[in-house]
Amino acid sequence: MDDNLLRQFENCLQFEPPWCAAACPFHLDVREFISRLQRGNADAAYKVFRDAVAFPAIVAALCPAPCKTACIRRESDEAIELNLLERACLAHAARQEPNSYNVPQKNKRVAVVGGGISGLACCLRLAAKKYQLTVFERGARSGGHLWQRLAPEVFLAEFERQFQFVDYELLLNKEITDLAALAEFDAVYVASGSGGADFGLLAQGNPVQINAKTAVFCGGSLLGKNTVEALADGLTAAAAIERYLQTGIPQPAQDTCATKIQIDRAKLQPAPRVAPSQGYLYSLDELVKEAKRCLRCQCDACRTYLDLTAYYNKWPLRIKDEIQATLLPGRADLKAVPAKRLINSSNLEGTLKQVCPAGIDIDSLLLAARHNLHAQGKQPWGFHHFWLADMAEANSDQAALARAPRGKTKCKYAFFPGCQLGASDPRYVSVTYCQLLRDEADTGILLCCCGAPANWAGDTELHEQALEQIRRGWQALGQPTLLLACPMCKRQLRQYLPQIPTAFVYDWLKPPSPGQASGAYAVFDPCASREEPELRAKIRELARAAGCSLEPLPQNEACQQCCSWGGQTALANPDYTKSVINKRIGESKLPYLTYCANCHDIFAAHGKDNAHILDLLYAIRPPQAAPPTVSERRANRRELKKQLLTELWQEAWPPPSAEQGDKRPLLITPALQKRLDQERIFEEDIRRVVIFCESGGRKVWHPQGEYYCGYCEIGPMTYWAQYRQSGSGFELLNFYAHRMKIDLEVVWNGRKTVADL
Amino acid sequence: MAEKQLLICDKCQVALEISGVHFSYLNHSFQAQVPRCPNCGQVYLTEDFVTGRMRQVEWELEDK
Ligand SMILES: [Zn+2]
Repeated sequence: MDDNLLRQFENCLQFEPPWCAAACPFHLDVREFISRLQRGNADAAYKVFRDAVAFPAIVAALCPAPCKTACIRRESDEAIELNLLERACLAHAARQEPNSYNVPQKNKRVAVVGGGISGLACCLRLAAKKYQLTVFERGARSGGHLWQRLAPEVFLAEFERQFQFVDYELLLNKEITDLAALAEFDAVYVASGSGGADFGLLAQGNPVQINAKTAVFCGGSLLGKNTVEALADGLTAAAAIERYLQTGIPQPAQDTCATKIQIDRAKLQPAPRVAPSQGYLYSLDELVKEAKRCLRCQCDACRTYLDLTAYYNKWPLRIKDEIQATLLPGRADLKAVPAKRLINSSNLEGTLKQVCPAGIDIDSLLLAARHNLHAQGKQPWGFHHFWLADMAEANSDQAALARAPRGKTKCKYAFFPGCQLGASDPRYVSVTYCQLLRDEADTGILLCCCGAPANWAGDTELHEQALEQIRRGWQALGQPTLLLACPMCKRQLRQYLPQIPTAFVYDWLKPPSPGQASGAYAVFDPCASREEPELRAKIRELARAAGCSLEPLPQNEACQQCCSWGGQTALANPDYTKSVINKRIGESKLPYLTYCANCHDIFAAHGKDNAHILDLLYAIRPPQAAPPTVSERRANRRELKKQLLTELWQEAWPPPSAEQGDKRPLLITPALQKRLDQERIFEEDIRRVVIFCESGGRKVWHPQGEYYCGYCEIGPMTYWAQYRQSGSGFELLNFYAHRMKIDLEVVWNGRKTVADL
Repeated sequence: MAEKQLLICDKCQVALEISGVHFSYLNHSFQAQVPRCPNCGQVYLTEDFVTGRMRQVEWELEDK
């Protein structure tokens, strides 16, 4: 598999911090903090805040809130009052006791030079992790310049609260004048305050290794930081010191204010800032209300638009990891492999590539994954067999056709309607083709499948065979320009047969005369029309010219999403497929106008009135018409070939069958026909079961029900029929099907003996 | 599958008997007790069995 398909995920912005968190000296997890406040849970929010800032009461009181300047909400109204929310969180949180961790003392010693806020923060963080801490304060009290900034009862009470379960040594009136005095410590944090001693270190770097054992880190007001930044410095220094104590490698404290986050600006709906009704303190209600103004910014276009991420509730990065795990060679059942069904549940139509700010193309990865699974023999055939059988039929002599106009062998153009348009109704193809011939006599016809089903099944070899059939037909016709009806065919041909020139048939059709159609429609642009703006405009032009009024379908116009056909997911994941269809048809109460045979029939099958553009031009089917069943689709394709050959080429078709098969009829009630269609079973196949049972006597008599029951393997499937005799033929009572094979079936039905196996 | 009802193999004209039958799918196998002709091996699966337990096992194997 192409490495770039995986590497592109390095650009994913999912974990980029929101602007406020990037600007925050503590990089507070604002999304989590706000999420807890939005639920009105001040206790839970307090924990997030305390874990980030160490001394919540001091930070809430003194923070200059750089987050407010960074807040994206300023583009629509006013920044979130994060600092007021912090204060209110403190006021409303009932439980503020720090955690007491029962971990063993560590044998590493850390010295802190300076008992100000930065030194104490570093001390608290490391001492809570059971390092041995000693704070050297040259004055008679700790707290440093907090004494000038804040009421002592506020910060002294906070120190007492946060340090209550923590052991450390505070040495007052103990000035360090030479770092040599600290040579026995494993690490030193110098936070000697504004204008304090740096022992000549800052000129050398930060940190500096002063002997084989000891590394010295500097931070806080000594580096010109304000109070809150100095506190934050103490915490980042603690993290850097711990890294040093664990690895022995001194590395600078890490702090980045940069973020590459992007969000959909459409989310910025104005919402007025909540003003505290009392002074600077929000009531709990006000707190929740202000918190709810926060968008909890995260790059999540994928979550908004991608049906797959919505259904599985998973982010693309997670999906990528699951795909990688699933593709690892070896016996799949020995590992946790959760993603085979997921891989086969994508519509593969490129939504993410369009909406993701990093342009991540997850569908190409998913498609490659299907081919990889197939090559490893691990792709479940049950996910795709129906469409492969359908494709085989469309490409068989029964339905496929490549002809130049009558009397010619080559042509300049050839109509390529795709395998589904004629299946939907033969007249879509025959009527359109006759219209084409009237305006451009040098137009042939090429009936076959674009190969998408094999591609989506991951069967590289079968896909190549399908492409070869198109290539051969096209060459035989003298390499005409193919006039396409479905955008999906266009997408497949452009990608896999780029040498074939193509155009859309709609550009060749005469504009309709006004009054040919009427009514209001919402245009549903098929997913593959995304890269075809001219086609989208042309369809609208034709529909308006015919006399229809068109209403917008805003979501679909913003991002042309799949009707559910793409990627053929319905067998692998019927539930997902249904969710996609319901989303698409729920966008408007108006009947849809579409121009893809698949969108057209899927919507109709789910009760959504809709017209194909050819319905408006040639009045082929009314918008409320029921779509054909899978069996009728097959018959329609054969009928199309017959109509074309007999009417346009005056050839007898089909040729008289040499087969002397059993012609006894099988009666199937409309209710059973409907169920067969829903389960994608051909009536022909169920008839084969009955004939098989009857011809070989391989059937079971059910005396209570007074019916016969038997089965037959057709392709990889096993079909069962319950039936009884009726007149000169049979009546179907019930049917069912399974993917599992009955072992020894070939022995029992007499085709082989045990010795053959 | 406890099938009390009588079922007759049409070819052999004998009653089916409950017997262990093996099934396979995606390189895994699965066994169940189902009615089978003691003479020719013809099996009978009910709709409940096929659309219930068997479909569930198929689904699980597809996820493996
Ligand atoms: Zn028998």
